[in-house]
Amino acid sequence: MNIRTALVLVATLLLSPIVVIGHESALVFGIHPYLPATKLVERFTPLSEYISSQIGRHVNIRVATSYQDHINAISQGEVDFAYMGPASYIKLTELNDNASLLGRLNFSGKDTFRGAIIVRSDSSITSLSQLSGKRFAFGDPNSTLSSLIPKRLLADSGVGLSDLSKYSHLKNHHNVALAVLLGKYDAGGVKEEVYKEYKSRGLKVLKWSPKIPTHPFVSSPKMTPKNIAELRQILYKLHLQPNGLEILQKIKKGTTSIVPANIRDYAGLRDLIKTK
Amino acid sequence: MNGMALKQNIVNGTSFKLPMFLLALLFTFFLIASNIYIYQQQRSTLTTAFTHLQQSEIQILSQLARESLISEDYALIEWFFNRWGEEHSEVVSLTLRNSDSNFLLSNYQRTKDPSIERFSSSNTITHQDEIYKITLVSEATAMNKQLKELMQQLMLVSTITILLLGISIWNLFQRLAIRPLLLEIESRQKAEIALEQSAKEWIFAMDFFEDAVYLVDLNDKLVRANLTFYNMTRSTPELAVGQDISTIIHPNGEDIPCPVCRARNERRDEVIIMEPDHPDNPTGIPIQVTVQMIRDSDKNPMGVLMGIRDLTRSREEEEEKALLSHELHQAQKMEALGNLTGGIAHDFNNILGIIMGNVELAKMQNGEIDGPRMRKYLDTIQTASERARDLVAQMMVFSRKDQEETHPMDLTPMVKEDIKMLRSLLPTSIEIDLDFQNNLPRVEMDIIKFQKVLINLCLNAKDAMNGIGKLTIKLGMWRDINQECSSCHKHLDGDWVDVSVTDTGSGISHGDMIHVFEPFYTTKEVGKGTGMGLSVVDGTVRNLGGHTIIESEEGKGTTVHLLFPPVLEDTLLEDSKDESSHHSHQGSGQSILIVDDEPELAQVISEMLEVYGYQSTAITSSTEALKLFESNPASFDLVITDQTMPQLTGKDMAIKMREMRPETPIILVTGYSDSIGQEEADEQSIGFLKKPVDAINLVNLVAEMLPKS
Repeated sequence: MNIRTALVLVATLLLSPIVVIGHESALVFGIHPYLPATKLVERFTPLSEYISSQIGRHVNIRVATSYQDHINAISQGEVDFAYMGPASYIKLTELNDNASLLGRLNFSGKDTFRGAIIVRSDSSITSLSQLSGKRFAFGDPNSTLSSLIPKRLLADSGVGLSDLSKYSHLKNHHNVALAVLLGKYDAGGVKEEVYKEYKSRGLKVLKWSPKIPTHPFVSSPKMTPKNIAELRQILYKLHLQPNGLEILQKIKKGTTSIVPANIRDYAGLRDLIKTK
Repeated sequence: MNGMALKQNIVNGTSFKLPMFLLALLFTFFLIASNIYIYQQQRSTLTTAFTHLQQSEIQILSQLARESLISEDYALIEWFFNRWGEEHSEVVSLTLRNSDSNFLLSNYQRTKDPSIERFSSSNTITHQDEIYKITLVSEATAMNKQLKELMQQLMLVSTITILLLGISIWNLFQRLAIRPLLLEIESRQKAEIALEQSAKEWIFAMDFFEDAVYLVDLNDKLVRANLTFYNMTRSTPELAVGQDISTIIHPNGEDIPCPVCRARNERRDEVIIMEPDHPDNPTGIPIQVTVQMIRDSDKNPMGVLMGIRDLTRSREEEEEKALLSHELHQAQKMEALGNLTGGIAHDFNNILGIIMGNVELAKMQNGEIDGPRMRKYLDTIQTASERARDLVAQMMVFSRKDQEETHPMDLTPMVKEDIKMLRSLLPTSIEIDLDFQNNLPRVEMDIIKFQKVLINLCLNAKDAMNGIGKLTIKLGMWRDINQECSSCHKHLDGDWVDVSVTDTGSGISHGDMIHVFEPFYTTKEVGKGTGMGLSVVDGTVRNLGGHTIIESEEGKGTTVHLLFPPVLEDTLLEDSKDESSHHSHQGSGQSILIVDDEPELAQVISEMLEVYGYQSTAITSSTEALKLFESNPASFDLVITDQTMPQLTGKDMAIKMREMRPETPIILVTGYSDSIGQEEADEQSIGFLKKPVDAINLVNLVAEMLPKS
């Protein structure tokens, strides 16, 4: 290698996107804590890396300590874009309507999911009304399927929180499922995905929730339209990339693409939550 | 080394194998036991460490689980336990069970090889009156890996140790057992080379021999021969080897087997001498053929080694050797004579002094011829003269050449006579002791030789004693002797006349004893010896039919026995008759012619004869005497003549006189003559007298030779 070649290489390195990444501020990708933080980081790292490679900036993952913390972080611009629960999105719009939807998960054309009120398989409880005077495990208070929807279903069955002998908000759906299995609680609310995971260990569904729209990706108010448009294109074309499906499946099994989302997609959920 | 020795060596080498094998086996067993012990120790340590580690881990997990239970973060427990299990490859299972509901809050399981050893630890957590049990089951993979590596290292070390031990044992075994075999092989190779070289040297040496040497097998086929054989038989190895030896030696065939062939055929060792004219000697030279059978250890014949020696040169050498021996004998004799002369001269001067003194005294008697004093002087002169004669006679004995003249003799007077002379030869510091046995039988003896032998023995004894000591001469019979001759080593038995000379000198050492009979051997310094060598003494004794025995003790002295066979008595009777016939005779006027170139001596003899009644004519020239005799041969009844005279010797004169008158009696008187002796004189019927002549012997012989009237 001669001196000229070495100088060319050095110049190339200095002008490369990596260097650009180093010079521009990194994007913060917020994740709501529906799973343990490390597990979330593990699931979303491939996507953040993909976005980083496409946008030319570092993307740092931020796992919120709670659903509310996550909503606040987006609203206040502590994160640039985020993945969040449907109910959280509704709460976010209530706080700051400048947050833009970037897209939402799509499962082979299916864009909804559901949750369930679960009890142990050996439980004698057969209806929601029988939960009165029982112990109930909820997830995060802002969790759509482990907290907000179960409370609505209980209320619809005439069981208010005060009717329960005990209820608690656990950190996530998994805790709810395990707490019920352990017998710490007589029933709990979890999304379908978690129920299926623990079903074999002794759970059964007491009541399925209505279908709700899938989790959305949103941008914080500080994001420029250009950046929002750029991010949307990146997300929409993800499944077309050579490793796009792999990145999507990593986030949630069965995910086939990220499709455009509209605030109207969440109107029904908004009504469901707000009526109570 | 032969095959048996080699076999024995191999056996010896093999005897080391078992101990070496057992030693190696013992050491290997020791190593294996050590490895097992180390392995078990290390395994125990690792197991303890592993258990402690597992306990520590389960404590950490328990702490986490407790906190998660308190915060009801059950998923965290499950997730963390699963993650723990995934991150720790040795974990087989990690469970958290609610003991009350038996629900597995966490149940990490990994499919593992059940054959691998596992360790299990558990801990209990109490939360809200509920008991949770954490169980961690781990494979001892790391420990096994370490133990495996340890075992590999031990095996490696053991293998290296065993290999080193094996090499050491092998080297030791090779040194102790195989090495001798290798050395044996090397030795054999060297031996083969040496044998080959030896064979070449043998062939060269055989070819170098002037003797023909050849080897014949039991079928009379020639196996090998040297160059002399091929030259002698005009053949070559290519033509002769494998051929019948008879056809090679006798190409023209033989009607009757020769003596050599007979000895060979009869398988007996023999030495055959063939003169040139022998009909079976094809060489034309005197040869000695040696037939020597080669036999195995059981004495069975294997072949015949034969040799042909040309005796021409050896015979010439024997003659030369005899001549040299004679010359040596004579030289030693003359040397001894020279020594004798000195001693005798002293005695002779004394005798002359006595004679001359008495003559002077006789002359002073003034005509008293028949007086008693004159008679005394004359008797003294006569006695002194006889002593002088005896001395001269003994000197003459020494100066004469040896002649084979032996007669049965009594040794006693001979020894006594010799002692007279010995007293003159030996210093007075040497005491002479005599021990004579009476009535000894006679021995066949040459008086001259005996005197020489005895005197020389005594002179040797004097030299051995350095002039001071005691000399003992014994004469006696040694009956029923059972001894070996010191010279020829022949075993002696029966009765022998023993003349022994003993000295008190330095003795003869054992080393010198084996050489004393060798010619020219002496321990004396040059010019110090006066006697003949023992080889000459022994040779003389053996010529006389005797033997020599030497007894000597170093530092004490030496005795030399001269043994002679006694003569039978009937032989002696004849001799005694001869001696008894000796007596004096009175003449009756017979005419006797006396011839001697010494006028005084001629005159003395003339007057002696006249005293005894004979008429005598004394002539001092032999030629004139011959002329006188020639003028009238019959006028003289007897002629007495000296032998040694100028112009014409007595012997020649006598021969001429006999030619003129054959019956003329003639007496030859000689003092010293090599030209005629007693024997020759007897053959020619000539009387023989030795000077100085005494009257009795003279007239007895004259009377004997004169015709009896």
